Amino acid sequence: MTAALDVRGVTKAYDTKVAVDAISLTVEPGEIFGLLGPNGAGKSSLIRMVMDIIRPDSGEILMFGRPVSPDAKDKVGYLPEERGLYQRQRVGEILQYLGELKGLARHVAARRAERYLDRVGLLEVRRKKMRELSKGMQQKVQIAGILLAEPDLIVLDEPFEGLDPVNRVLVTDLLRECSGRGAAIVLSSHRMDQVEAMCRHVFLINRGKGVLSGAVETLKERFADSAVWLEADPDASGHPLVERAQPGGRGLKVWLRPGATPEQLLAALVSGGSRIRRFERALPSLDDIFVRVVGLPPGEAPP
Amino acid sequence: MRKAWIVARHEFLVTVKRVWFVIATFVLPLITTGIGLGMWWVGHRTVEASIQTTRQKPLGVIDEWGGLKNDPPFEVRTFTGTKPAIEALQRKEIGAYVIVPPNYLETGTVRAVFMRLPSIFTAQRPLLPEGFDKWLVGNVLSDVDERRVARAKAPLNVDTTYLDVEGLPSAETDKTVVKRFGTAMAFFVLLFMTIFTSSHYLLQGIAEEKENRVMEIVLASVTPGQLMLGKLLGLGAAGLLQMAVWVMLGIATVLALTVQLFLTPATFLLCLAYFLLGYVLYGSLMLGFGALGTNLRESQQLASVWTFVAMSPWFIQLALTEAPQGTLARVFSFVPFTAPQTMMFRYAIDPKGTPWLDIVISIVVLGVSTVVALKLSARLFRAGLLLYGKRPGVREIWRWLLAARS
Repeated sequence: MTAALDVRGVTKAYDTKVAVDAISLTVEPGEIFGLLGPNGAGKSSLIRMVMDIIRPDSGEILMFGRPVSPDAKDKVGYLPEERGLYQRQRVGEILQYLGELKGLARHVAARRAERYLDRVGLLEVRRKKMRELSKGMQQKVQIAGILLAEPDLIVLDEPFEGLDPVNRVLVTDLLRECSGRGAAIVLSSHRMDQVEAMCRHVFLINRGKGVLSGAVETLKERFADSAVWLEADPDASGHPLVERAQPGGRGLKVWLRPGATPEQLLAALVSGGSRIRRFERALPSLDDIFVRVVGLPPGEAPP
Repeated sequence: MRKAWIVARHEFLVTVKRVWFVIATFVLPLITTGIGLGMWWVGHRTVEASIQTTRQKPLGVIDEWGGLKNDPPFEVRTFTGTKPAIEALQRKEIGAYVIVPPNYLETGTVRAVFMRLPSIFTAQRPLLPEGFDKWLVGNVLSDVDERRVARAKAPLNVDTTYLDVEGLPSAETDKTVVKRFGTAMAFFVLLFMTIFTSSHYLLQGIAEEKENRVMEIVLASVTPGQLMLGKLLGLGAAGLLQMAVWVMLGIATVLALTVQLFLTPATFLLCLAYFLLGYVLYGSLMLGFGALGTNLRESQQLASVWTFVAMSPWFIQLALTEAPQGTLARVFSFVPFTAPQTMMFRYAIDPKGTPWLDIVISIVVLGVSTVVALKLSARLFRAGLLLYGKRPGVREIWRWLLAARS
């Protein structure tokens, strides 16, 4: 299957500062792909190169197997970080214009504008001017404007910024729907919880370099300590297999001694007559991994 | 091209639907023309009435010279001294009186006495009755034969003939040249004003998109070149529409009344070609430079340099009129920034004398320069579009211009 997006060794420098340094990544159709990184890591520069707004100094970017071209842009939806819409124009007219720019016929664009405004719960504001809408509503109009062309590749830079929890769920559902019909989604964010909830694959970029990539579950395994979440009676903090313990959100987090396995601890607790309510491998969150990797000194490789 | 067209239609419709566009296009010229004409009419009537009250009454004459023998073509009351003349003025029986002194033949001076305040307008026009000077000439030459008197009164009546290069009488007359000059000026002013008006809309459009942060969303669908072309066409059309309405509402009427145009189909087509090429050249340069500003004021400052360049041929219009095929005119015709204005002028003034080679060279130079300007401006436009809050330095601009692709 042809990748929706294939970035090959892309580099971009501004004067002497290298913003993006030999980045390569692949996004498959139907995949929700998380692009993570601290502020100023080079995410937006990379995205702008994908969108052909700035040009890479070297490397190649393929969309659906072909170099980025003006025609290919019709199949791509893009929500930039620096975003806004014409404040003095009517919502419906703006969306129709955005649809037309994506190659939709005028009447189709008008119909889709209504449909997608309805999807984000804003059909009644279609005749209002943009400036009359709240910030959150404007954000939803922008998302409707991207989805109405039903693109095959959707690139979103911090899409949840400015949305309340209810609308975050609404947008998440919409994006899952797009992925369900085969659209590839690139989600750039520093909201780890959202990325973790939505993405199968993530790519972590720091100081312009790709420092970590892979499936979320694999990465969690890779960064997992030898620890478990335990809720048991009596408390197992003094057990000989346990090195140390610390209470947390899911009970007691227990670190095993070197060489000990969770299975050994479980067997020992059961045979010792403990009543166990929870026994779960303690995998790190993306947040933990992010902090651990980004916190590394420059040049040092993650585990 | 289709996307540029969509951008153009959107920009045009959005602009012409704005309340201020409608007011500026239709209401303001009506109000200004109405107020202007009204004030002029009231003022004119006051001046005329003031002059007529003096001129329509009999003229008092004190002939100290003794040579005023002929009958005047206006009503006269003769006085022998100033006192009765002043009394007649006070009683408003006469509008003014004149004293023709004994040494009139030596000095030519006649003293005129009015009972009114001098004013700037009446000072420009003689308040004495019509034909007063000719009546004096008739009296001076009372013993000379009538035909000589007539020649003394109107000694020069030039009947000019212009020959073409083959020595045959040319169809050109002084009157047609005046019309040609009017035509040349009309095209010149129209091009300049269109560039000026449209540039305002172009820069406003760019500044607005930058301020609203909508630029990057639009650039996800169109190339900077398409966006620039679309804006150039759409906002240019809005500017042209406004100009057309203004011309139709007022300026054309005034022009048609005072200056008659000389417009052949060839002149019109050629001037139209220069007009459009000139507009695209200047419009793209203004957009490219305007995109480098971070707000409307800065964009206008950056783009204003082109307004001055566009105006430069204005300063050589005397040379263009007098020697439309001279070296200066030809040099200005081959410089792209001055070619449209200069060639429109040259061709309108002297269509037969303008060599076809000059027209072809200037159009080729202009066409190539327009394409180059569009490409370079698209580079500046692309680089400038995403600049928020920071104005680029000259080195940076130079690097963008040299960038491999646009």
